[in-house]
Amino acid sequence: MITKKLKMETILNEIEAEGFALSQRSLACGRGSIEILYIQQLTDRASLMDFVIRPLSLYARQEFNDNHNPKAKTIARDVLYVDDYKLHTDGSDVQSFILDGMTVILLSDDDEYIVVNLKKVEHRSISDPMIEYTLRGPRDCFVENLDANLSLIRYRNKDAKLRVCQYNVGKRTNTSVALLYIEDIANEKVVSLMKKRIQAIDVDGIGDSGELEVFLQNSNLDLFPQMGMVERSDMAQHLLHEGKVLVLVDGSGLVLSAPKCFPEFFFSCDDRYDNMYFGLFMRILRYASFFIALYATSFFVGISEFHIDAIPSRYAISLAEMRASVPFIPLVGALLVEFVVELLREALLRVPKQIGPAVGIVSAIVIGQAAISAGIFSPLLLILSSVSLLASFVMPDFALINPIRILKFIGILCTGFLGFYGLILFSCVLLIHLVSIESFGVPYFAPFAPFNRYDFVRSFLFNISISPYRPKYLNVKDKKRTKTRG
Amino acid sequence: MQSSISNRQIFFLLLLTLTACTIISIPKVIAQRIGTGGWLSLMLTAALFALFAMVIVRMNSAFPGMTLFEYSQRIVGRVMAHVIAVYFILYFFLISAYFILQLASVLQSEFYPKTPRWAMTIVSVIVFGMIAHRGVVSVARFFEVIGIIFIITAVTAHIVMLLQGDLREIQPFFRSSKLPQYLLGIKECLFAFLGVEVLTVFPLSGKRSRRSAITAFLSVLFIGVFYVFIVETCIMMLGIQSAQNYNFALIEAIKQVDNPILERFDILFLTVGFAGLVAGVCGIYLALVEYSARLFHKAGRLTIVIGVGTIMTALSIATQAIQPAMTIFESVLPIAGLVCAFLIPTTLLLIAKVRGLVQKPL
Amino acid sequence: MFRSRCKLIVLLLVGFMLTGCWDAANISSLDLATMVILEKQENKFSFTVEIVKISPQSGGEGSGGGGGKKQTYLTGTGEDFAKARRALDIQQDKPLFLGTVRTLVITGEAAANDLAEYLFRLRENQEYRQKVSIVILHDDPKVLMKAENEADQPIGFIIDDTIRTGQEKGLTCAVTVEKYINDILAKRGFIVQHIGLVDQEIRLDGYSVFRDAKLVGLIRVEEASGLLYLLAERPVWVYRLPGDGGFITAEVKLNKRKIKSTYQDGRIRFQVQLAFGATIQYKSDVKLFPLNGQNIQRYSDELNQVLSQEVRTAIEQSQNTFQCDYLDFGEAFRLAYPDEFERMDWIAEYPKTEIDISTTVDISVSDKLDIEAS
Repeated sequence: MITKKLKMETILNEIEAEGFALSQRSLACGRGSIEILYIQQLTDRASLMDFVIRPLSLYARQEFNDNHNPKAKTIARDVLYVDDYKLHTDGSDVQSFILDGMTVILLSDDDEYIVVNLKKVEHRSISDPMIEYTLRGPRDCFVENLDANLSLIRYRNKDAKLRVCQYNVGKRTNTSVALLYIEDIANEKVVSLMKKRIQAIDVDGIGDSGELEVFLQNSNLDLFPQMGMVERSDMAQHLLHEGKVLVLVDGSGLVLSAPKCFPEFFFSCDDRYDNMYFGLFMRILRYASFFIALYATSFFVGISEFHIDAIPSRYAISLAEMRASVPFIPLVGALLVEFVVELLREALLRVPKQIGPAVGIVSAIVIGQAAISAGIFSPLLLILSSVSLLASFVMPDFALINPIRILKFIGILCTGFLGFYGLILFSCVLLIHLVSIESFGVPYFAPFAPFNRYDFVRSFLFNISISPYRPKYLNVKDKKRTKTRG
Repeated sequence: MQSSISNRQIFFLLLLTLTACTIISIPKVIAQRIGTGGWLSLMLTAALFALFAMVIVRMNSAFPGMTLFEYSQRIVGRVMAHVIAVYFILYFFLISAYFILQLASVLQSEFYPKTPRWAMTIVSVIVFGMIAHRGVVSVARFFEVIGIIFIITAVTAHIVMLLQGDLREIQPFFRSSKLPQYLLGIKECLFAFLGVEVLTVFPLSGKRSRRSAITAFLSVLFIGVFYVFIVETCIMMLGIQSAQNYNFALIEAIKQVDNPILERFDILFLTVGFAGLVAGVCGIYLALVEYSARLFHKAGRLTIVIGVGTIMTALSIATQAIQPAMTIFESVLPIAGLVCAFLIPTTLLLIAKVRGLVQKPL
Repeated sequence: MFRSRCKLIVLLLVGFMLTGCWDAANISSLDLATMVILEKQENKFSFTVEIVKISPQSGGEGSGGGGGKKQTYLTGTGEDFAKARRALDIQQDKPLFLGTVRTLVITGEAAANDLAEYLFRLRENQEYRQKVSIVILHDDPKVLMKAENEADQPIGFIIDDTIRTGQEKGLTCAVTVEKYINDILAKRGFIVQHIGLVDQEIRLDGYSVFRDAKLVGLIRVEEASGLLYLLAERPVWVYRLPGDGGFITAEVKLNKRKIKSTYQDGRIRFQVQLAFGATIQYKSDVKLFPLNGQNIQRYSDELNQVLSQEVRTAIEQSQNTFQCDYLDFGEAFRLAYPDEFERMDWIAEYPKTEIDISTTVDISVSDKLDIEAS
């Protein structure tokens, strides 16, 4: 029979054999000892000193003599000044608790040990959002710490039915993942599907919510994202109230939401805070921007190469004059310009802040002015590309910009080969793709197809006082949002 | 995915499939063979086909989640059902060859004079295949989106034509002396309403079947009114004499529209109009795929889509070489279409009622 | 799933590659034509095209000045249209693009007997804009090419703009190529705008009359008021009427036009009812008599007579001089008596029809000014 002391020693020996840098504080207590194990970099050492080591030392000195051995339950209940602790017996979990940033207190004469949460991880403070910037509305955004993010959501949602399910994902990283939903609103099928998919993940590690998204989506090969990215806590609160499920990943500043439909990429929380008609105007502007971003350059190629007689004669002559010195055919010119624009976009994203403005000026002068003077591009093409670039930034959800960037090139190619008919064929293929995919059982193109009049009108004209029902296509439990009508 | 279509989708499905390609040439047919009272022939034909559509929807609703091939096995037995399926497949191949031939002709004559028809055909069929591959529910949603854009653009454009055209060209609206001609004109209008039989591959949920049947009926009537609007505005723009000479009278009429933005207003048709045409032909392609998939259930869906596309392309290219192909199609297809749209569904309905397989509609 | 998608995408790409861009044409590598002149001399046809000289824009600003015209002219001659076009094509250094042609000028000789064939040729040729303006020219086309304009615009644009401006202002009627073709097929008469050059300026001269698609005469623009009242949509004319010791100027607009037809005992009769609105704009002298009820009635009667006479002249010209229904009376009869119209030879019947004219003038004073104020 293995004595209790030997068990603690076995655990300590195993940990030492693993060789990961951990700190150990021993306290003699009665006939036995108390071992406090923690990793310095993950622990709030000031709290450890004040609320664990000091009271334990006092306890060990005062309370025990050779005939009395400390018990984990008593210590945890009466001695330690901590709120978040658990008692465990399984010795094989000790390592994972320590690696998780917990402080483990082993007692030589007790099977039970105490796991205390004194985690303190360095993370950036809550700041202004970077991708969901807003003029009106709160500006607190999520950070890389899961607890901080949960606190942001919790203080906005004091709903007893808010459920937080926590999982650890990744064999090596053991990343904490939290699934949030409001139990009496969210669709049960979506919740259970999400839970099933999270639990089925078998991978080394997850670094960011983007990596987790790959495992949760219906199809990884799709160009269009089926989950939303949320940076702001008010947006997260709004989504929870719509019946969506949120997934928070420890170490990621972006929260995932599901289900996500294509028209929802054009929503912004500002639309709810501002006047309803302004919201309508902005939605129309965003839809128009989507089409401009996707089709502007293709339209130019179609007109210049295939359908010259579609535009009035005077414009055709002006266009011919603009293109007189350009050596490339419109298709090649358009592809080149778009390529340069993409280069610029990437360069400005990654350039160090100190030389960022300089790069902006150089690109404007070099590409804008010099290219036209040299006759490499026509002014109209450059204007259209710039407008297309600007239009792509009008989309409030950042995730939609990437598909547009790729599809734009395909559209240009299709138009370059077959004119507007090619563009139409491309649009038809794109449309059939959008209407046939689903996001966690919800049709991706809802409420446009399958059409629902109430949701369609609300997708343009939204005011919480006159929109008593939640979106029908989400199939939530509690369909009613409000009883009052404005 | 839920495997039935809604009433709204029935409407758009009918609209786009019926108007696919035939909408381009119907003004010429009416101007040439009937005259200014052609609207009456169109409405009478619409009423007739509205009844046919109602019968098909009634049958689909009586057997929820099933297509004609499936419920005909219950009604007339496996062998007959297979014979019916083969007939439908042959008919759809013929009509798809006609539509694609028409599409390629229009594109070459009006917009792309140097691009050979076979190139247009191949590209188009590949896209149709990609769309049909997605299945019944996705295609129905696709129709919903395209249909609304198509109808809004078409109505707006034709209202402009109504304002700019010469009303005298479509008058007198009715001549009692020409009544026999109007009634005989129904035969000329049959072609415009072929496509109703595509409904046989779209299963319905069976809920509120009476409403679905009424939707189908009213949809075809609406399409009749839509045709009348299109035809009359085209004749107003071109003139009744001139319209007879244009095989693609609709496009020629649209070209006459005066507007400050687009010099060639038919570019609007090339974009939005052709999206509607593509959708319509996809409906036929889908019907072919669905019937073939049920007949050759061991083959994968992709194999069937590619096989159907290959045959369709080969047939279309082969017919391009035959000089009187259009004339042959126009004489054979209406009769074949009537069998699919009227004879087969009505016979099945009667047999099903006699055998007590069909209940009263909800 | 992934493989099936790949296969379909590859198929689509292959399909697109097949298209080969047969119809692709770089706009800057085309000769953009703005006007086509069709002439006939000694049984030979000539096509002259006006081509815009494309000069590159520099530095994003508008094209600067510089000497020389901005248009060039190329001519091809042949025994028929096809040969003439061929003769033109073999001179081109770049493909000719006819989609920017705004005006087709046909000389009198070419239009005399061959207009129908040319219009059918035009209809078949998809290169042309369908809304191109057609005008008849009796002057030498070479003089037209030398016509000057301050902005040095293509002549084709100027002619088209002149006609469109006239249509908007109610000074001429709108006619399209389709209407000409429709009239030819229906064996109806029609009129085509006629242009001329006065002091190097292009102006609308009148209307060429066609019967059986053959040129039979010309109506000068000064005599065309009656014609416009019967054909144009919103014709406007200004009259200067004599008063006691001066003149009154009034702008007359046609408000309503109604043509009723009756057919009795083989006799066709038309009642033309024209309702005009006239606005007195100004007097020539402040001392002229005041515009009271009596005087206004006098002016109304005078105008009525003038207008009635003009319309009558236009009708008599069509019935007697040209014996050709280009005033669309046949249409009015067809609408009322379609069966009878189908049975008769309208071309022969038209000169025999009786046409009664009744005009009413609603005269008022301009809202803008009080010309009576002392």
